[in-house]
Amino acid sequence: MVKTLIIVGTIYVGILAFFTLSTRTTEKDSASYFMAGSNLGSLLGLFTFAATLFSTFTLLGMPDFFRVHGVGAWIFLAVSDIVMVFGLLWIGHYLRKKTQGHQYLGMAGFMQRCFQSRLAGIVAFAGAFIFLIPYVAIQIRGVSFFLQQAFENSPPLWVYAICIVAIMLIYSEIGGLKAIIYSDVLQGIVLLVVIWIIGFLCLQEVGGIKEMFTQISEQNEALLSTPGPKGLFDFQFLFGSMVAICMIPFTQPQVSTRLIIMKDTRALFRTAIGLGSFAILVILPTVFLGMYGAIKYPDATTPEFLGNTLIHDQPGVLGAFVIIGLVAAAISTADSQIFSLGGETRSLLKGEDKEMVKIARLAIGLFALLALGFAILSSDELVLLARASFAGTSLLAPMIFTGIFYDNSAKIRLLPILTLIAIVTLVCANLGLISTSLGGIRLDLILLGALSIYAVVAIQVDKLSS
Amino acid sequence: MSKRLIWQLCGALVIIMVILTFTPVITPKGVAEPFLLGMPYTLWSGIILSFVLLGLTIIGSLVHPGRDHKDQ
Repeated sequence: MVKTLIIVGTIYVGILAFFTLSTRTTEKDSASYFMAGSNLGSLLGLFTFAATLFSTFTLLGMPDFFRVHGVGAWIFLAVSDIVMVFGLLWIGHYLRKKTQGHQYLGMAGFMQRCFQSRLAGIVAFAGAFIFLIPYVAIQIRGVSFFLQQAFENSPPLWVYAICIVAIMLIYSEIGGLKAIIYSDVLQGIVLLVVIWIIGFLCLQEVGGIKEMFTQISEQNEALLSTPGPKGLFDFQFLFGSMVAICMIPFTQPQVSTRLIIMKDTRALFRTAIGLGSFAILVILPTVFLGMYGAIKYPDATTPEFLGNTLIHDQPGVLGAFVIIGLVAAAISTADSQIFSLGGETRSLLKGEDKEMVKIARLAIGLFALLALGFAILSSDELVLLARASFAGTSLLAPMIFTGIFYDNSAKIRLLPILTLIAIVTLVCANLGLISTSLGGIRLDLILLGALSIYAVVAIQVDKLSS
Repeated sequence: MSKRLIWQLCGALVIIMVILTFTPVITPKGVAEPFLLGMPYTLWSGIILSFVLLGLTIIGSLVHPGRDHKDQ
């Protein structure tokens, strides 16, 4: 396998280098470096959206989620993703309309303009920063941990983490968003092909779909329905996850930037449909992987299950592709997120463009280092940490939607302050300083509900008074 | 039927589907039957639901009021 891995890895890095060099420009301005010229067609759009959204968390986290919590994981991610895609049509169009005629460099700058308040921009940036850095970190950690488990006499986790961050930084710093988008095409295809081959092999191994679920019903029937053996998939978890996931295109800057840089509305719509299809295609084989694990490795730890299912139980050649696929999946999401934080930084800066781009590029390096540090220290609960990130950034939604839909959003001055308070409260809950629920209701849902109600009431009051 | 009305209908149907997702129609507690093609109820109904939602998205994209909006 090692020989194949070296060959496949060299080809992969070679293609990345080609994309980086072919998109490299000596003159780096914000429009080309952070917004890739804002002329993205539907095919590139589909792959860059897909590679950004479906990451290590899909390839490593979802099979484990199916294995441990059962078929409700389909509702948790697949159904939520398709609803998100419909939201992309509905609200995406308005966001694009609202940003026309103004230079859009990031959601933070956009919020600053809508609310005519620097605080609104800082809150949008802070929300993205606080909840994206841990998310980036778990991508890096997930793959590094997996690589460490996959090889005998493996170097420590931090060696893999540094290599991944280095590759990611080199091509995104040199080629900008364009290099990231081109590499996303490669990474999206690799992810889809690899996950289907392994899914198919696992399904064959357990004797097909019918036989697979018959064995599961004999071993652990609770996996075949909600809320699952551990009771995770209750109404609040599934509903809260759907709300948080639906907000991603507007509250996570790496996705909202892609929405803005689409060539036209039709290209966005075609991308949205492709993305919905991609979601079904990429999540379906994770059901097979998870159920295979539930039959073969019901009591194994997550790394044991993943190491066996994805590497050791597969032919050697395929194992090499899995490793490259995983690295590709982690890099494609992590680079977009880190880069988008650089874009958010740029959108808040005022001054000569080239100088500001330089500062933002330095910030990208700093964010990558922070994510690296966090990756070495964080926990292994991939999916739950990812969900915490979705829930955290979703708190920005009432403020962002007010900015998009209400022309006098500058008059709703209290909303950015309340959003900041909500973010701090959720961080405290995630750190275990306060309870994560109130009266049996999840705190993230309460905070999001309270902010939404305030935004609606404040807009109505403002309309009546003017 | 005007395009705008079809678009609104798609939106309404998506909302109805979302509501159904959280009811026993799609996620009955502790119920795996009936099986379809060997798959338990919540999985196959969830897959069908995903395709229905995708279908509504496709129709919605064809009749969206902003579809012909000229970007500047």
